[in-house]
Amino acid sequence: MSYEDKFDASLDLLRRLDPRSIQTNLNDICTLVGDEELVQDLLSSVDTPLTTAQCGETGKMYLCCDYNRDGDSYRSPWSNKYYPSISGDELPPYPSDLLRQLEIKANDSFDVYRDLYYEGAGVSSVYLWDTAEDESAGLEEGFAGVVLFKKETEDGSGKWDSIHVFEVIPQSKTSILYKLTSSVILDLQKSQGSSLSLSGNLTRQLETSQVVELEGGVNLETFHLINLGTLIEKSEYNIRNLLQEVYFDKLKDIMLKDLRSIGDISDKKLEELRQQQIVKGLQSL
Amino acid sequence: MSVKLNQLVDSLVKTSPPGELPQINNSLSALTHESIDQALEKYINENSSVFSGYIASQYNKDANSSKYIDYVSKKMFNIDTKSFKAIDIESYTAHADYPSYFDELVKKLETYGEDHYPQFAFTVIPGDVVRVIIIGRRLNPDNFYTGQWKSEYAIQNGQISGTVNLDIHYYEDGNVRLKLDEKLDGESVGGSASDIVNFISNSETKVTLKIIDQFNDLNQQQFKNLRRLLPITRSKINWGNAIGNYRLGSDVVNKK
Repeated sequence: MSYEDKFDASLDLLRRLDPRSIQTNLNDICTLVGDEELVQDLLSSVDTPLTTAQCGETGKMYLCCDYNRDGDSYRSPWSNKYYPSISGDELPPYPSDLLRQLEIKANDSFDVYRDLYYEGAGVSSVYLWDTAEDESAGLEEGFAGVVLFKKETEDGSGKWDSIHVFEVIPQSKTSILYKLTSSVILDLQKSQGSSLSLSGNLTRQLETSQVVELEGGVNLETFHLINLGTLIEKSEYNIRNLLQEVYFDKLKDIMLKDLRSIGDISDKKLEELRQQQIVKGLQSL
Repeated sequence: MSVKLNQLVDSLVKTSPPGELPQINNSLSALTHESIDQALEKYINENSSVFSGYIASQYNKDANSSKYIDYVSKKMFNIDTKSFKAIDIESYTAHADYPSYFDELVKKLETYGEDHYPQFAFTVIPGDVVRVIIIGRRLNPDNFYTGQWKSEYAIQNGQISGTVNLDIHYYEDGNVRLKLDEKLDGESVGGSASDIVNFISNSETKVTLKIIDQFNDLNQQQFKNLRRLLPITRSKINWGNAIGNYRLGSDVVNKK
């Protein structure tokens, strides 16, 4: 089996097996395939529920994912430091100075967003990284990043993780392409008197092209913040509506229409038969 | 296969959605050279499932062969772990201790199934404990979903009890799973086929209504409380330099 076949087979398994066990299933598959390169690629392309860590310097909570990880340490967006701290000759990855300035502002902006949409609860984190070969190229050469939100209801019966990975790609001197992949992992389970659970994840992509217009006190940094903020807000709005539709309408419909109906379906069958006959009658005219 | 690999494959197969074993088998086979038949057989044995219209479960496994027995059609069959179809179908001739209401129960279950299940299979397994298994299943790969309603009943000493297990998988650009395991309280049914089917019908309708209630609860409580559709201002955020004003505003309100 080729590398691609194995990669595709792993992803196919992960979209079929119970999403509530995604972390265990991912670990099991990694052990099964054994190939170090394939394991790394799987870990960076499969979304699992986010974990939290506390920033030693600021005391604030931050979110951990593959994008702020180095070995077993995770970089805090609040202090730009890795916890547990990394010693040794080789420095862990950091965003370039200019990008770090933008990262600080993005964390600030999305913290306000979190406050407004997640009702003052939850945790947010933004991580940026350079995509240009030359790290001193500045924001003009584009960059990439991830915006993360995590929230649990107080009784733990509802869990939301959203993961927005984006790329900022300059297309010309005056035009920038923003490409976004948003995933939400949503887990709902009533704590008492119920055995019903709805859990899983949905992923959608969105992109927008923007003409650079810097006026009225808007510099390139602010321009990016406005476009990324607007795009992610739109994407999360869409995906929240989609979650509502799939989790509550689609699943209920499948249960009642495809699996077991409350009413007598022989009435429905008769109705269908009658309609078929009408259609046949019309066709023979 | 080593014990560790065995456990690993078992644990992966265990969370398969009903009806997607062929796909799981294909993908798993691409990842390991070892045979995964054992894990699949274990899954089939632990989860009553339907193959070519026949139900296979731990309760109707033949003690003397690898086959399963369908007491309703009086047939025996194997399950091919490549195609997941019933194969080697032959007549079942051995003697079983059929309860007196067996034929009538089969007839009534057939009618009940046709009334409430768009696609279904059922079986009745005789013994000290008489078992009824009903499976309504829909495989709809074109629209990225599979779903299964499975109810299992045990009738012993004139008492019936049961479980309903619902499992729906939706996977268009994602992976969403609904699961439900509901126990049904026991009731006295004597030895009458109509009492049994009435209990089944009433209980299943009650469970369905309960699930609809729970859907609404999860939607109105848990989901709503996680993330707002729009901020309390009911308008989208004004991004850019002015975003700090929101914080200023909330600081004033909260008198921080």
